[in-house]
Amino acid sequence: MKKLLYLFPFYCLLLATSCGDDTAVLPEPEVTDLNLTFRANFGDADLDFNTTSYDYEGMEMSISKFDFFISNVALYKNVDGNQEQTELFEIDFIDFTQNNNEVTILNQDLPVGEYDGIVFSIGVPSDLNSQIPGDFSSTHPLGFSNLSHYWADWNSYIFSKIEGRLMPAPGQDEVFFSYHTGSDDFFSGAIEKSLSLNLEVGVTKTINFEIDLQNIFLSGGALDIQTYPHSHSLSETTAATHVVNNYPNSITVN
Amino acid sequence: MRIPTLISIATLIFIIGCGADDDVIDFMPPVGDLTDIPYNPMPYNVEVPIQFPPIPVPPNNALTEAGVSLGRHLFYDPILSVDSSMACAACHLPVGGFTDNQKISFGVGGATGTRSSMSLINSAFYLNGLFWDGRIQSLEEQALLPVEDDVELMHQWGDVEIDLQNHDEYPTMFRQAFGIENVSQISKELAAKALAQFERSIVSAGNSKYDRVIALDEFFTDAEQNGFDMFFDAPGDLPDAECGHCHNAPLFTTNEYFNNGLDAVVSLFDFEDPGLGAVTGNEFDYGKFRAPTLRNIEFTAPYMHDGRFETLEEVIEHYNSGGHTADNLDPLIQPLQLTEENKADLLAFLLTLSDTTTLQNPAYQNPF
Repeated sequence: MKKLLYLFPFYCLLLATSCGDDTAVLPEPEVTDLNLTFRANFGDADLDFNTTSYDYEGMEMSISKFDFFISNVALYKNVDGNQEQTELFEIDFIDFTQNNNEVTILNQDLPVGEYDGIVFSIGVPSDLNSQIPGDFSSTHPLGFSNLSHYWADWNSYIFSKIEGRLMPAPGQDEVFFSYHTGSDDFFSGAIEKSLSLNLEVGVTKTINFEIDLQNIFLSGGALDIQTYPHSHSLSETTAATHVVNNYPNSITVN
Repeated sequence: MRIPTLISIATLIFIIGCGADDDVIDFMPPVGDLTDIPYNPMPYNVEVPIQFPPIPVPPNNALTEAGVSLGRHLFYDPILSVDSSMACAACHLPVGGFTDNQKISFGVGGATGTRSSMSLINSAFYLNGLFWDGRIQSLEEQALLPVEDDVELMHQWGDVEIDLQNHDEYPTMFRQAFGIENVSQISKELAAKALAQFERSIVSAGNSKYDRVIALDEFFTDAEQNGFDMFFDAPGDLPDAECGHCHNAPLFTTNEYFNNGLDAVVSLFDFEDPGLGAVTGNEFDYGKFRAPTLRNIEFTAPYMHDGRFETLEEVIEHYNSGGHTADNLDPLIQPLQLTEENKADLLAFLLTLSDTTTLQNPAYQNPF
C-alpha cells in the first residue's frame, strides 16, 4: 500500500501528460483547393467581344459587354435525403469583357470528400442588395471599384449587363442594345447543377461553367432586340425578364 | 617681427587648426544625417461624405500628417520643374475644381499639351486607371510622370532629387514623413508617395446641395428634382438623360472609359486622339476616354478630354444630339429628345454638385 502511495503522483503526472497529448494529436481536417472557371459562348463558339459577328435570326450581332454577379455559391452533397452544403463564397463579379472571356476563382481550404453538385445564384441576394457601394470596402465586388453596377434609382445593384450591336439589314440603322438586370425581383434564386466531384488532398480540381449567350437570347423564343433594345430601367422589364429567365438553362457545369 | 618668430606663430596656428578639425569630426554628425530629427508619424484622417467608404490606401503608403504636408508642399513647389516656373498646381488649381480651366494644358515655356487637365477631387477612389486614357494604375505611379514630361514640367528626377536633398527644409520634411536617416535617401519614389498622399486627401467635403439632399437636410427645387430624375432615369414622364450610367453617384463617375460620340470617324483607327486604345492596343478602345467626376463640374470648364465645350449647355446639347455613331459607341449614347426645359432642369441638377467648401478647404491650398 505504501508503494502504491509513492506511485500515486506518477499516475497523476501520466494522466495529465496523456490529456495534453490527446489535444495535440487531434488530426487536422483534410482540405484542398478548387478552381471555378467561367467561360462564355455564343452557341458552339467561344464568345468574342466586338470583332466577331454572330448570326441572330438572320441578322448580324456583335457583343461588347457581358458580366454578372454570382452569389451564394456552395458545393452540396446528398445525405440521407438532405442536402448538406459547403459554402465557397458569398458573392463575386464575373466580368468576361475585361478578362478575355475567362474568369477563374480559386477557393481554398475546402474539406476533401465527394460532392454531388454545386448551387449558386445569378444576381445579388436581397440582404446585400439592400446595401450601397459605400457600405463595402472599395475593392469589394460590391464596392466603389464596381460603381457602374449600382443603380441608386432602383435601390439595387445591376446584376448583369449584356451590351452589343445588331445590324438589321443593309441600309438600316444598326441597333445598339443594352440589357441591364437588377432589383430583388430579378434575382435568379438558387440554381442547382449536379456533378460528381471528389476533392482530394494535394489535387486542385476545376469546375467549368459555360454560359451560352445565344441561348439567353433565343430560349423561349428569340428576344426582339429591335423592339426592346434596352432594359436599363424598371419600366422596361420585357427584355430583363427574358434574360433572367434564361440564365438557369443557359449555364452548364462540368 | 623676425622670421623665426613668424614661423613659430604659424606652426602654433597650424597645430591648433589641426586640433580644431579633429574636434569638428568628433562632434558633427555624418554629412546628411537626419537621425537627430524626431520621427513620430501621426495618422492623417480623411473625412469622407455620406455614402463613401473609407479611402483606399496602399499598405506601403499610409497617410500621415507629415506625409500629406510634404506632398502638399511638393504639389505647390515649382522646384519640380526644369526652370522652377511651374508646379503640379499650375494645372490643378483648387479654384478650378483642381483643373486649370484651359482647353489644353500648358507646360514649361508655354509648351502645349494634348489634353485638358483632369480634376483631382476624389482621385483616391479612381480605381480603374488614371489620366484620360487610364495608362497608369496608382497615384504613386502617376505622380512620377509630369516631372519628366516634355510638355509639362520638363525636368529630370535625378536633378530634382539633388535639389530636394540640398534644400533647407525638405530633408527635415522627408525625415518626418518617411523616417529616412540620411538626405541621400530622398528619392523620386518618396516624393511620389508624398504627392500621392496629398492627392488622396482631396476628398469631397460632402457639402454640395446634392449631398445635403441625400442626407435629408435640404430639398431640391422642382427644376433640380426634374434634372435629378432625368439624370438617373427615374420612372415617370420625363425623358431619360442616361447620365448616371457613366457618372454614377456618389462619385459621379464609374471610373470607366467610353466613346461618347464626340467625333465622326470612318474607322476606329481614325480618332485624332486614340485615348484608351493607345494604351491597350485594342481597336475597340480607340476614341474612349475616362468618364470624369461631375462633382464641382460648374468650376471645371472647359469640358471633355480636349476641352472642346466651353459650357455645360454645350455638353448637354452634345448628349441630346446622340453624338456620332461608331462601332464602339456606347449603347446609351443616343438622341435624348430633351426639350429646352428638360435641358435647363438637367443643368440645374448639375449645379447642385458644386461644393465650394472642398475647393476652399485650407488643407488643400498653397502653403507657400
